[in-house]
Amino acid sequence: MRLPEPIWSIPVSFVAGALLTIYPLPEFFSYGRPEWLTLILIFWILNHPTKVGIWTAFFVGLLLDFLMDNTLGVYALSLSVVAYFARLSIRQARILSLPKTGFLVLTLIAIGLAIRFLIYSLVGQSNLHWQYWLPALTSACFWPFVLMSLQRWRRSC
Amino acid sequence: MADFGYRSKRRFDDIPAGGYRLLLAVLCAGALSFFDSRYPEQFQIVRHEGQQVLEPVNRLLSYPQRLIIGISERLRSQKDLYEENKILQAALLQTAVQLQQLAENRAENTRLRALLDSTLSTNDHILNAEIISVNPNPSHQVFTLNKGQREGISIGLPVLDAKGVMGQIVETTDRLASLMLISDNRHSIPVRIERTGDRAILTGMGNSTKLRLDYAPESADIKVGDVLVTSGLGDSFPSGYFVATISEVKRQHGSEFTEAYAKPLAELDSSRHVIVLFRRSLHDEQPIVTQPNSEASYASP
Repeated sequence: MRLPEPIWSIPVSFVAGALLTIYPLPEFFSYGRPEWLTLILIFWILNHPTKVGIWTAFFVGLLLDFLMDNTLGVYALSLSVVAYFARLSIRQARILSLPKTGFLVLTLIAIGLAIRFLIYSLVGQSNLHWQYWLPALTSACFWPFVLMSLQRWRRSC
Repeated sequence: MADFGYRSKRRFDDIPAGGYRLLLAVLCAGALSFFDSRYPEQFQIVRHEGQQVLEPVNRLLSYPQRLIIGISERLRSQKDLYEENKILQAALLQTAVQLQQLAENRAENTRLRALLDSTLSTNDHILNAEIISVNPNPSHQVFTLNKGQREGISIGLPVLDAKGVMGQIVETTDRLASLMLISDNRHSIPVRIERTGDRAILTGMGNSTKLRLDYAPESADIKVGDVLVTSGLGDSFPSGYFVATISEVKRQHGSEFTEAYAKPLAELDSSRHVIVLFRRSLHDEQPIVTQPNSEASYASP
């Protein structure tokens, strides 16, 4: 089966993810907001590894740094590493069932959170709330929605 | 069978993980975050331009929430409005009477200061603004105001609500401004205990009901319920505005400082209408005693 070429859908999905990321939510929900951009990035890396790679992750991360008004480079670094691990696990992801890819996504997002936690501690902005780790769980819960909305460009193996 | 093995092999092998690219990206990002955290002043212009580009998007995204609030305000019954109007009129009368006394005090103050040969500017310039949106980063306590550089807002201006100090402006774009609350864990405000006059620094902890009092000596006279007001040191907040009340005091033997926590007086969570205070009114509280021959140099700013 030939896959439709995702020339436009890649940037459009990233813009949609960015809008979902900065949509203002009350503080309570804000902690559990899924990392939409990371989810979309993982989707494209798993399904179209020739189009989306580590440099895309780097620039998406830089965009996230601006959106979140963070220290520049923090998200860029963590997303590059997440992209690397996602590329390493492409083979495994192709033979996994949907719930198991959910666990893969949870692990990847947790790796990103851990790297950011490390950098925040280094630059002196450590946050010790347990809620800091909540996005890993909620992102994994919203992973099926990302898969469904980008169904057309899913690789069927 | 051989064909199948060949195809599957090729499919898997033409996806390099990209170790060298990762190394380069990590180095770039690491250098960027190192320099940004070490020299934030140089990156301020980059940040500012980035926020300026994002401004229309932020404005657009704040509209659904504002629409809901607007509709719920329109849909109130006449009885509610009538009662609220009566309460507001009573409050206005009380405030107006208190203001008469204040005007008298101010005039007297001006005369006394004139006797002391000190200059005083009584140019109160304040601006109403509305909180329209909240920063998407949950670890930052930053709100977006609906006024910006166009209305004259600049970085560092103090922001208050009806009960006390809310925070200060940390970023401005053409039509929006970012307000960092006193409860943000990157924010500190110099304060004075109203009862005793002892000075300390109040630092946010990322919690909108709890602030930490730093650098209060172990022997300091602090009690639960003491009111903290801005001390006016450090040039960013004018002195004499209410900030918080002490909610918890812990004394430990052998420690150099008293561990104390305070609860903000301003309603950090629920206030929607706020006041931006312009810098000129700083001089209300802190007269600068000038020599007669250097008066011209003071008048210029």
